[in-house]
Amino acid sequence: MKIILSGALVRFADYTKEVDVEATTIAEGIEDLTTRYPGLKAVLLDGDGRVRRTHQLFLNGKQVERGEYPLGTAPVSCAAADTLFVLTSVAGG
Amino acid sequence: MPRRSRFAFASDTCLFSPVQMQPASVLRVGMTALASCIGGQLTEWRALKRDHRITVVIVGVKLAYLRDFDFFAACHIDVDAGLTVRSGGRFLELGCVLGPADDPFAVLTVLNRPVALSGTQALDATPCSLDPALLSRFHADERDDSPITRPVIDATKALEEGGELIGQGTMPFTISRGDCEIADQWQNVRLPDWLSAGRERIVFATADPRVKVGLRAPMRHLYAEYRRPMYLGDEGILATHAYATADTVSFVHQIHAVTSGAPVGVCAVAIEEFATGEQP
Repeated sequence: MKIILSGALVRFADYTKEVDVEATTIAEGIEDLTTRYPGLKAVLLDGDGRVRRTHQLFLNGKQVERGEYPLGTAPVSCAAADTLFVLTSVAGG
Repeated sequence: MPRRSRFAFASDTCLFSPVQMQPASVLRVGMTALASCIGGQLTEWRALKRDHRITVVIVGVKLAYLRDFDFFAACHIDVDAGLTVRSGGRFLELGCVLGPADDPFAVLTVLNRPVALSGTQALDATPCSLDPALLSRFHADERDDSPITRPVIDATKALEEGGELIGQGTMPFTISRGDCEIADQWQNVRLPDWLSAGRERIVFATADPRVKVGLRAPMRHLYAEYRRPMYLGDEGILATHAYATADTVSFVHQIHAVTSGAPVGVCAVAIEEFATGEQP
């Protein structure tokens, strides 16, 4: 699966906007992503390992419902050809 | 008495075009005024972020040029600004007057939305209202609960229905770090420069001579509404339509983000208005 990062997240992935990850679920993909870029973990995930409410996920252009993607619960399946877009709604710069 | 922040700065040539103080320059001064007003009426801006985990982002701009004012008009520029709480703390509005107190040349109004920071280094945030403790720092005469207006929506509809389309075009652009603030998010004050570039393309490429006023004359009004930010490395398309009415030529702009993964849609809309009576 390809993960595309936007916004303020890019600098925590060493200015890489697109990352190919090995994953069968969104949760696995995010785990792979944050393992490769540890600095991204605290920015993208809260203390419980859930994606922060300030970021939205889109799988192949369709928004993933928030309740579906906390890591470790109700995993959303994905395939190698899928694209997961991580959108930062707004930053308070 | 509502509190005001007043300061002056030396005029320099880069602030101006041949015909007026550039809109982006006015907005940049507006940001300085905003920081000054936040510090004077609320708390130091960095303390607002650090201690209260709140900041503000621009969601709307209204700029009215009241009279001609070019580089040779003065050696310094006076600024008089104040902050008003709108809608019970859902918005903070900056009112900023530029020029001598008895004869200002521009009035800038900037509508800001408070946002709550998540606390990470990315400064990611969600919209919020000012909490009661922060609200209490504003005086009673610094509050206004009248409805928020959206001039871009109404003016665009009026132009589409009653104006004559005399030119149109698109312009791709990319957000670079020089366009961004500390979160690698676009600086809202950069918007007028992109609008200007889109307008100039139409002026140079359109046969209808009425569009020439878009470079020949000073702008009279700018209205902008920001809907979703763009970030470092994002690509966008500026779509511009020029409309003529009996006494104005207006350039109506939409900025779309070009992304491969999400239906982000329109990021900003704006109107630049020129008076057709302006002669070469």
